Amino acid sequence: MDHKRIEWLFLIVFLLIDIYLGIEILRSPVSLSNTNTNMNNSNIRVEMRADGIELPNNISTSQESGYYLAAKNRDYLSDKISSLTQVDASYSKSTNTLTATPKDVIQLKGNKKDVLKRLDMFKNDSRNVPYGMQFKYEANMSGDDNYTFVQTSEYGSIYDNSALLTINVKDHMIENYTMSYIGPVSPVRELQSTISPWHAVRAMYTDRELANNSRVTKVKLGYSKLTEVRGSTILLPTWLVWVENKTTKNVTLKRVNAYTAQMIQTNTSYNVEK
Amino acid sequence: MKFKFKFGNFFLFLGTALAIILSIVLWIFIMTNDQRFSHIDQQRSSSVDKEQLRNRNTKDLYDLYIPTNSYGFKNGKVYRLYDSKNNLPFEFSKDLKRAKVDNVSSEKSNQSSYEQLLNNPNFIQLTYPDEITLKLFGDYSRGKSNREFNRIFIPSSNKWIYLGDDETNQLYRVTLKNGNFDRLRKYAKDASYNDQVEFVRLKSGYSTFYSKEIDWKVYSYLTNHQSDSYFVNRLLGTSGVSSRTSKDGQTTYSLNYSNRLRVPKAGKNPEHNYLYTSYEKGKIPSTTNRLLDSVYYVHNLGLTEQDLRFFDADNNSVSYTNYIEGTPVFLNQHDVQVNTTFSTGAVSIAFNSINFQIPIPFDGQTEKLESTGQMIKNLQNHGINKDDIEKVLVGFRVEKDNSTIA
Repeated sequence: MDHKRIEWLFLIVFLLIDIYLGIEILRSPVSLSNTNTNMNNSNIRVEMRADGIELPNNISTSQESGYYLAAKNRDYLSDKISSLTQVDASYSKSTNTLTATPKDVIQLKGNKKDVLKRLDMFKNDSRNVPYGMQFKYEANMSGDDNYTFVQTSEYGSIYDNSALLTINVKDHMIENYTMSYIGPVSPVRELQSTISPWHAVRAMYTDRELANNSRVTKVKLGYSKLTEVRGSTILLPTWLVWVENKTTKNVTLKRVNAYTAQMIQTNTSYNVEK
Repeated sequence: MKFKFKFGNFFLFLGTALAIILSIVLWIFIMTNDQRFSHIDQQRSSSVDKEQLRNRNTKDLYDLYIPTNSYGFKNGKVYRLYDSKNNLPFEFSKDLKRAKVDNVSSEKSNQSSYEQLLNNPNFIQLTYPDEITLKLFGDYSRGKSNREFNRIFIPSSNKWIYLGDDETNQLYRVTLKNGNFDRLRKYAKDASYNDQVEFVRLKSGYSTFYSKEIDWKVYSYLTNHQSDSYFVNRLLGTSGVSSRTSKDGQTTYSLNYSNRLRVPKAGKNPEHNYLYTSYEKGKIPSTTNRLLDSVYYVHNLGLTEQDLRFFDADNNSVSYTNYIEGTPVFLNQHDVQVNTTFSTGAVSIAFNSINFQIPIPFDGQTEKLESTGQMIKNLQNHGINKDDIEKVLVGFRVEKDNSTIA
């Protein structure tokens, strides 16, 4: 009787083994391509729409190009204070920031265009703002009472707290400004291709960096700080993506490494409220 | 009743025996026969869709196939061109994307006429480190042979270019529509002409010989390495992966016996060399398909492709390595970054996990590079015949910098 039980046990066990091995043989090996989520572009657009994410019209799928740039870490602003004869200026060494208030009242009259023209005149005068000519107005980072200018270079604009000029306005007059200056930049390596703006937005979506019910208002190529090494700040091309929350209308600037499509999680994100 | 009992016993014995035999047969079948993988879509390997490659997730196919060096003439002498601001091969690649190939025709050429063209100051030259096929960029050969080339000659006209195969001295004239290389010519004119070179015929083509001793720049990078689990996830997926450790302590992860990844030994292994094998039944793909398929596999590795360029295509292998300002980087003295080898039963991808993450500004450090002629003389003095040398090129090797960089 025991012998028969053992035989039954053997039969059941080996039948189970056979079933398992049979399934294993019939099962298709998972091919390499399956491990890669190769979602179709149009599918992603449909999914984004379903998630309430709006994109700018005609977002480009063309690649651009950019450099790794380096700027020597130096104090560029403190020795400029003496030449700022039309403003009362002070320099903070801890934050490398210059703050200045115009000695005379500077009225800002007219429409937005007139105001910007007047602000341009103000910042381009080296008696008001050092290196002012190198700064360019950035509407996406400006509000009604503050006008933000980013530092430019022959390689592109720099979007970093260490290369920023913000002019504060109160009662149609320039109240004061704060500025930082990263210094002249130069390429560390030769020009290389970047991903396209669409690729950057797609990467944000697949990395869950684009919240549902949001609107991408602007995508722009600009340089962001990567790291500091051997006394230099290294900048790299990034896709700057302004994302507006449709409910709260809060705008956030996010950055995507334009070489690798990875998100840059820095503390230099701006929350711009208009 | 007695008969029934015996009958039941007999079938129980027979069933058990059959079940045991069947399980042994199935087990042997699984362990020894890769034929069971034959139902993998065989179209896939030769067949990674070209469109898919060109629109793939990171950057485009052309990025890995940008020429690596450019040459121009000054006072009748050839120079390797360098411009810190404008990347000439990259500019050419952009210009070529905008142009349309109208016609490709073979030109009558021999070594003498080819060498005349090599030394013709009316052309800017761009080179690949090894031959690639015209079909790689589109079906321009229309059924004809692969039409391999490794050198591009840009004339003063925008309507045509020459493609040359250094190994065979074969020339192809490519007629273009909407071609415009004006900017490339301007950049070439403005580039620095520091490194005088000459093209010397060796066994497998023309090598670039540096006429004089050069102070070659030494570049620095912050590097990083992805973990084993990163590559296991990328190449084998997150489910169904099993691991086994062989006797010498090397771990191999496998997925359904069709895909295997051998990771470097744990502990002190500074080489970071991985081997991924995908078992697929099928013929070895054509030269063009090998070039295309290898891009697919390289892309799947998930390495930083920023500086990665095509390096070599020999027999059934295609390799890629990082280039710094036109110069290939060799890891562990002689390894390239990725080497894909195609065989009838498998595709193997040997790769190194190093990523050249952040370039460090050039600090003025240089290394003396003797003239290539002198180097050949030194080799001859050591008993190596010049006629036996296949190719000569300048490469970087990686050395750890222990100085503080912060």
